Amino acid sequence: MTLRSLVWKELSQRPAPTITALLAVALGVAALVSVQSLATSSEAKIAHQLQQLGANVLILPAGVGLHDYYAADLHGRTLPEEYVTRIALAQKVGVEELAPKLCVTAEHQGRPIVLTGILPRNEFFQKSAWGSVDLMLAGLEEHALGKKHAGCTGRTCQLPPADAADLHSYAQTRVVHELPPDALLVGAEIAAREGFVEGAEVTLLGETFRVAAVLPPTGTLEDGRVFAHLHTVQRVAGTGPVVNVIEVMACCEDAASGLISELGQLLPGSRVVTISQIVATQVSVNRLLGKLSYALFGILMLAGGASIAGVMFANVAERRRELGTLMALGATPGILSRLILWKAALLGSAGGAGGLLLGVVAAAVIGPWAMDVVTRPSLSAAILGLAGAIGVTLVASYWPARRAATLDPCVCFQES
Amino acid sequence: MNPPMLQLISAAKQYQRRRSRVDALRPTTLTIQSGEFVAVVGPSGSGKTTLLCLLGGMLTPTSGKVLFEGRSLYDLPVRERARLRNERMGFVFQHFNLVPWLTALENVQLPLCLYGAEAHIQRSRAAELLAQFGLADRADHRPCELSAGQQQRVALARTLVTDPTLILADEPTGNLDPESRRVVLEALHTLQRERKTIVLVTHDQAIAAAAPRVLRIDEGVVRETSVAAMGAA
Repeated sequence: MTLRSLVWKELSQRPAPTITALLAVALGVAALVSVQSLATSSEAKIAHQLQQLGANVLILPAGVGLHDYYAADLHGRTLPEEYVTRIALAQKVGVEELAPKLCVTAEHQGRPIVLTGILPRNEFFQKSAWGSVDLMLAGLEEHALGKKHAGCTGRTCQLPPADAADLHSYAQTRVVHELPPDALLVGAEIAAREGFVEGAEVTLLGETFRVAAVLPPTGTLEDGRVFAHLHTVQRVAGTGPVVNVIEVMACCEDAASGLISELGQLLPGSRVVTISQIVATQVSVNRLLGKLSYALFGILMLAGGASIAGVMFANVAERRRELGTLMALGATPGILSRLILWKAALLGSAGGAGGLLLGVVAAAVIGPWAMDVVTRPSLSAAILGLAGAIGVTLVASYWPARRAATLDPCVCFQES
Repeated sequence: MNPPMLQLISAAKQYQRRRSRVDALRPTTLTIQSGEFVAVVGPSGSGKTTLLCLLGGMLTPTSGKVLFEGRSLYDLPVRERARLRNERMGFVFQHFNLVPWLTALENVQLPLCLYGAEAHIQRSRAAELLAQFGLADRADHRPCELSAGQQQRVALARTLVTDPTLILADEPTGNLDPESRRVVLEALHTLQRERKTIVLVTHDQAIAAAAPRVLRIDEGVVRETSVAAMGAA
């Protein structure tokens, strides 16, 4: 038997008074770990989505609100297609790809279908004045990007030569190299619903299209759309040379931020937003949640600390004769202090571990259910939570330990 | 020549209670030699427990000195005094003072645990003492599962597990039935025969009568007395 095993035996024999005191500590750790895990996982997901999106600048008609990136063109208002030419000719810093879109509603066998016009890259090459997107990037590297973007490799690499002709890559890159006027790219969900298969002929708005590719599922609204050449869609829908949105792939977020004012001046009557602006709200909500979790953690730790201090004082008071007896048997005041502090450390570890487990489980359940995020436990929150729980219980037990150490050993002769 | 086991040199203890001074022990000088069996008698509140605490190094006197084998107990550091209690002194309590959440064996192990003895030594020595007091089959029982007599025997085993030279007992038979009382007294007489020094506080005339030396305390004043005088008192 050792002094530590003495502490363990006492705790295991009389756990009830301490369990309630531990609840606040455990809840504090659970709150911190769960909210921090949710916030960091959500931020990681946003960062990943940003990387996946390709386009990091959207040019919209003025006054159009933006609630969903994947539905940025579903508003019915238009911009002149000529804006695309204007952007390309201006050779603005950081512009790598341009993807104008026009969205119209069609019907297939009486069911509504969203038909989206997209402009393939080869349209850019056909305009001699534009040179090429790659040349645009080369030009940028020469004069405008400067040292700030020296390491920026850009997004054109998303479409390597081997994939340039593969229409299926559109699902990931949102850029297609070449698209025949009658070709149709079909989202996975709509293909399954309408029974579209590659090579099949589909009539939309009186025009017969051939399904050139069924796109792999992306988990976005685009799975429910069909895509065709922009100019074909403009012709069959009778809209004239207009688009609903122009997606711009800038070489990096730094370049995208710099583009806003320049594009705004270049394209009057348009609204230019970066993806980072769109996600800023979500990120700020996450950060607010993170800060709130620290505040909640602090409050619950204070409550837990006060509760533990109360339990420890009561424990010392009810064990006065027992502690006095230990002194009569040869325990020093230091040993009595250590008995109390070891107990506190054990309680803190147990409360911290319990809270950690609770927090991880809560985050794992709440993440996919409420935020559509697969949650990974936040290591820093776990470490902080555990250290905080142990620290709080030790600090809260300091005075009870001092009281135990200064007990009059003669209490061992008193009646209980 | 060896110094006496215990000496009080004008040792006194006063308490301050609600602005009034209480003389728990008036200045006392006495010597207890090694191997003596001393009974301390006196009415409740007379200062018996104060005397026991002073002798046990647990209560600093207001004035005077307490010597243990010639060394001034209260000039020693707290750690040293705790070590002396652990290694050289044994306490027996009226209410046994067993730790309720430990088994009989673990209770007996406690002083050795505080001493820092290895676990197997603790267990074997504690088991030996329990067997000596006829409690080998009760080693795994908690105090609440034992009779009062058995609890006091466990407490005696705990007292003796470190083989102390001085035993300070406070009413050790006060809560016991006649049979358990007999066992405890027998154990104390055995210890006396082994030349242990015993200071025993008691209200029991029969026990005091068996002691070669009796001290009587009245209102903090210690006097040598005899069994006959006790009877007269």
